[in-house]
Amino acid sequence: MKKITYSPITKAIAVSLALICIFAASFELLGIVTDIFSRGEIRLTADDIIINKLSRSAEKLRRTEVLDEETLYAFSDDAGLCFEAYDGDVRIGHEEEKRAKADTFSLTCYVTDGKVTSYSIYGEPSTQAVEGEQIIYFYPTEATYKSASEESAALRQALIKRCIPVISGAICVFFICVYLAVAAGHQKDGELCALSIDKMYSEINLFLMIGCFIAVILVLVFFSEYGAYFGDNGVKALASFGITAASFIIGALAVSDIRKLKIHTFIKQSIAYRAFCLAKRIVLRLWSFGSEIFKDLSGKGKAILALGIFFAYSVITALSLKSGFLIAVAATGVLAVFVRRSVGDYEKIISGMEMIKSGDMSVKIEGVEDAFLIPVADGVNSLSEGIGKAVEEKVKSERLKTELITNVSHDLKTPLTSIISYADLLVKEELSPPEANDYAKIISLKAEKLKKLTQDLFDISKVNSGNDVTASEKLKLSTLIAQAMAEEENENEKSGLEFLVNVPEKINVLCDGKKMSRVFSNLIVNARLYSLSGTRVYIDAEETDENVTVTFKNIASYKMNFKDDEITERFTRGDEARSTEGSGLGLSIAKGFTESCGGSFFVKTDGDLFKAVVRLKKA
Amino acid sequence: MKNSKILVADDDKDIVRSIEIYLSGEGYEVLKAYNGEEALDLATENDIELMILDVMMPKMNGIDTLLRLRERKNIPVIMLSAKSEDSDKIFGLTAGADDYVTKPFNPSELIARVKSQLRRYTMLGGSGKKESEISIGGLKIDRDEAKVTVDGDEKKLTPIEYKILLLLAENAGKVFSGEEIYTRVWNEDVFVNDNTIAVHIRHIREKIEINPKEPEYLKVVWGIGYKIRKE
Repeated sequence: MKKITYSPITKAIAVSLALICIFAASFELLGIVTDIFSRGEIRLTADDIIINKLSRSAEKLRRTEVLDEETLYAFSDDAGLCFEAYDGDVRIGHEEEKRAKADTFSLTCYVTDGKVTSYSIYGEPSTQAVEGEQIIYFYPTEATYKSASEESAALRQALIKRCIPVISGAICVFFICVYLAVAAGHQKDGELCALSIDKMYSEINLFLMIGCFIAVILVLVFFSEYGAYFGDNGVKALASFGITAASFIIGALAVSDIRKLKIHTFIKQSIAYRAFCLAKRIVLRLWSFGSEIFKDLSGKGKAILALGIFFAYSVITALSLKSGFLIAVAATGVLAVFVRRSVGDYEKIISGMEMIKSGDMSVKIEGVEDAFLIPVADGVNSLSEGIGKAVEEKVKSERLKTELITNVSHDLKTPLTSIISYADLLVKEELSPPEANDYAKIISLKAEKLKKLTQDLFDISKVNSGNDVTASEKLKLSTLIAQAMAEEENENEKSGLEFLVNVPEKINVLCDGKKMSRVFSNLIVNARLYSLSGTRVYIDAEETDENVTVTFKNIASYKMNFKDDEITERFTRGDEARSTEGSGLGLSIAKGFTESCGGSFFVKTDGDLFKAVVRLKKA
Repeated sequence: MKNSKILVADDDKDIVRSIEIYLSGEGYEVLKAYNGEEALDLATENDIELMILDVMMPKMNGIDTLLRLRERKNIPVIMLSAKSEDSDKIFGLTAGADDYVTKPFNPSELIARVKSQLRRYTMLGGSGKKESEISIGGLKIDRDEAKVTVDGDEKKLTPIEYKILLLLAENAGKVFSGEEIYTRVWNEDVFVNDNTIAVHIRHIREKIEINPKEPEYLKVVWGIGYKIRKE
């Protein structure tokens, strides 16, 4: 189906059909147009009377007389007529214009009640009588008038009939045009393609179309005006041919436009579009050229350039007030574009930095275009990358440390288990020689000590590595200390030392209960191990607005040869000889656990007085 | 009880041997395994009454072994491990162990725990619960007779100690401060001091706990008070 619809043969047939219709219709149309504007023709005959106003004598038209160059002028009140008699027919023309001889002419008068009310002639006579002119009245005879009337009536009737072919022709043409429009551009297979005519610029195309259209209109107008004179069939045929040709051109151009619309090149093939593209290209090139230069400028250079532009702008506005407003608008527009982009970039940097500040090191500031801000963004990105790496390293090393401690302590505990178990078995046996029992006891004791040391080491490393989880609760200090004291009650009694506890009941602290119980336990045990026998151990607590201070005071049983801050280091023991029970980690653990609760711990010695101070947050 | 079969599983042969010596010294029959698979095989083939299970073992670790065992058997299991964190203990107990002992351990303590678990296990089917009896694990308080037994052994408490224990046991799981205990037990409004209560609690622990430093029943809530664990 498509093949037939779109084949060139079909189109050619359609076009030919249309042209034929147009020719016929325009032929007819021209006739109609002529006749409409004829509106009743009066052909003067020899019987018609001309009244010479001046002479007041009626003269019959003498058909046979040839008045060659002589002209009779007549001006009436309402319609000035000037006659020129020629070839027996009356020709009416303007006084001031000498007409060339015409072969045929007609006088068309509009007659109402026997009087000429208006007329249509070749040339327009003046309606005003000029001095020295004669006026001639012209009265068509009844017969002339009647025949003219009948003729015009008949014409009018016929007109309607004559319209029919024109209209039907027009309808035909219309449908053919619709078909052509639809088929425009489509080849046999239905594909769209352009023809070389489509390369014409759309404006020229439209221009030509309008031109042809005007030409057609002109022809019609001509025929309406002068068709009666010149409109014989030959002329009409010529005119119809002209109209047909013009229609063909219009049609071809229109179809070209339709084709172009279909393949979307209508706009592209226009002058306006081309000009626009060119302009855009030029502007862009200028712009990028400018940006290149701008980018390469240093910060100072950019600032100077900006100031220079602003100065120039101010000068121009000051000097040319009229167009100053327009320039102001344009300049502000350009500036706004820059500002918007710079502000946008600035915000990008700020928001990126906020994210990095809050700990997200993976954030990268991207898409900054402003030449001033690019180095800033890059700098921030490098910094955050560097920090991120450093943090990663630290975390990794902390993790490895903790893993090491866990693994080592685990590895220590396994053989230690066997040592303790078997030492215990030996102790239970009756060994010989008897000294062997003592040896066994010593092994057992030391194994226990080793066990405690391993556990302490594990605890202190955990808290120092920062991987430990510390709870934080509101606890009653007196309860905490009483509980710690109760745990050591047996040993304390045996030691012969007097423990004096003075902790007000109202004091509450904010800390991790389990950890602090260990701290106090250690300090109590420390006091017990290193106090001079028979002396007292004082445990006091007092509170300030924000803190609570707990003090453990005892009299040392040995000469304290250490600096206050050394004793809390790992494995430093007051007793240089290392002969008593402590492991050296007790104070270290106390310090570590206290600090993990957000408190502080320090030791102060004064002669034989040993003071351990624990400061905690008040709850 | 005596002549009960006990399975000991640990990848360290010396530890297993030492435990075997202690247990057979108490009259128990000991079966030995050195990894989880062996332990399960032995458990299936034999009528074991208690298992001592190390956590870090090759082929199948203690926790997995325990879970598999619990699909079929309900015998008491004591976990043994060098991992001493609270989280490790909780993990083991939640997996289904009845007790958790950290290495290095006191051999006597281990034996005491074994005995305690066995007694509880065999007693479970035994006596019907009386209305007046409070039972938490192996701890039983007979209110009618004001008697306290742990795994069948009677423990002698002073009247004050008994009252404190009863108060805490009747409200198992609830934490009481020293003041509250004092008010309820002494019926006086004047509170002496924290020390007295703390010392009493310590004494009770020494009497009823296998290891007072690691109490099973009577727990110290540091800085706040005391409680007995809920069953």
